[in-house]
Amino acid sequence: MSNAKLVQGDIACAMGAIDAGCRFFAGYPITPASDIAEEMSKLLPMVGGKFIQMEDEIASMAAIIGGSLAGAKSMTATSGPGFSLKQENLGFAIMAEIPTVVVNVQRGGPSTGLPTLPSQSDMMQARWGTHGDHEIIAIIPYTVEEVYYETIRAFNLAEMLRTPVILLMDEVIGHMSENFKRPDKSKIEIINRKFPTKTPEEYFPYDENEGLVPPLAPFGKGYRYHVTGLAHDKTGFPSTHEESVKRLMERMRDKILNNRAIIDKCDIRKEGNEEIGIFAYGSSARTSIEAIDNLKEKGIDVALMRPVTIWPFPKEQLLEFAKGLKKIVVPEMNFGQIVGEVKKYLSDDVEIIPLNKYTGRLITPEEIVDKILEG
Amino acid sequence: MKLEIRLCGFGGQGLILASKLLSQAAIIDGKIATQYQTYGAQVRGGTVKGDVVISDKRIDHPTVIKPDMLVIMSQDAYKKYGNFVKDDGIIITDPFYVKGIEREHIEVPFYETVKEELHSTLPLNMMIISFLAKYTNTVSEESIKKAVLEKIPPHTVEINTKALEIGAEFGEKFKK
Repeated sequence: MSNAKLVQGDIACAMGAIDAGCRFFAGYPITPASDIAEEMSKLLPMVGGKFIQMEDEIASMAAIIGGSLAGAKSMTATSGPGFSLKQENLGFAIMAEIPTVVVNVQRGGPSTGLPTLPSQSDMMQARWGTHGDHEIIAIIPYTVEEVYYETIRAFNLAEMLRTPVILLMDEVIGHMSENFKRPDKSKIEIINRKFPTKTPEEYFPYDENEGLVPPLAPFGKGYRYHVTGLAHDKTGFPSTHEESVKRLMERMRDKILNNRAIIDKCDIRKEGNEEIGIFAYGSSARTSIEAIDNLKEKGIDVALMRPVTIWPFPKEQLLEFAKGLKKIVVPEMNFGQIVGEVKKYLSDDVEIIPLNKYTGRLITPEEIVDKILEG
Repeated sequence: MKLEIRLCGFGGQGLILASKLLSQAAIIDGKIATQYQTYGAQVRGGTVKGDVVISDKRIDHPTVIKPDMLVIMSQDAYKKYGNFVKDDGIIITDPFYVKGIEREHIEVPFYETVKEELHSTLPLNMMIISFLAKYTNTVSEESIKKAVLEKIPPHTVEINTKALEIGAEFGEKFKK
């Protein structure tokens, strides 16, 4: 007998959100993310939270920005078509520095594409889907258990850094079920946003004297301030003053880049004697691990690098991983999005071999083994 | 031990639920299991499959690649999935739904049996999972029952329990 239960990836995401303290969810149903909304609609009322189904994905993103400004940890969940619609307001949340968690359970695209089949083709959209220079945090778990823990981490990072965090899954990770045991709440680290220490009269929402992440006052607690997507000064009111714009842009960039130690997360499995490596994430990483086990039986040792945080891209970890490797295979369920990043940072001494599938089917262990054996 | 089971048929037969219950039962038994489903946009009538992987070790690649056990419950599902089975895999079909199979297979009259014995075709999926548990010897009868009872509404306990008993009998009968 075991205490584990059969739990679906989307459901683990909802459980993680609730345990992280999420108390507001706004969404619009879309396969394969609907199960998250459905579960949140059941769980939120039980913990005094609010669930709302909005008229579309644009409004859902707007609603969670409002929910978060009012002080509630807030989340929305969608898939490709909805993720496209959220991009404008995602940019607003970045600019206005509103902590939010945006889940994208990736399915085949473009457009409505393949609603019930997996894909990893929104990796670059997560990075650059919203316009303008910006840093972004995106996380991509590979098991149901990791979905739970990484959803919690997404909230922690969002609240700690006053920024949207994107949680990427793919249809298989969202729709599959496997063994999962929800941990005791006392074993989970929960991080809440800083509350202002200043009085409402002294408070500025974007005051750089407060550090890279100024405290965010919840609306309704007596603090009055202006929130805008326009470039703004410390008061929140629009400003095009060059020095003020520069400081704002650099602070928003640095609050991510200077906190890489808490944002980065990589699973590296390397003994040191391997000449071949695999760089894989999400469900493709699971397939890669099976391929690596199969190759080991044939006497071929292969190392694995699995980024859990994919944005910001783990450049330093990749450089370390690539040491001693002659080639790196990058299996992805897309035309080859992350392989471009891998190539960008490595010299020509390492051969980079893409392995791409974009038919709504998982890459198989055999396909990875064949790719490695064919040289 | 690693066993890949695929249940395929059409939407409405309860095969996806069956795949979930079979996986949950395996987990109650202390095993590792994954479950995954494929379906179209239709609510009823489209071809569906429920995939189950049961293992005593961690499962990496999450879904069935080539099943050891393939249960086919519709002609369309046979066309779509009938050729994807391990070389030494076992194909089980219900002759009420599937006809004209050329390769070696075992015919189990799930539909006719539940209809005759229970006067309802709804617990068809329960008979199938109980059959599989017994036939493959990978999941205990008690855990199947526990997984099912946790999930179903009280007024259906009697009929579903009977379907499980019949499935187990058939599983025993059809064993080599």
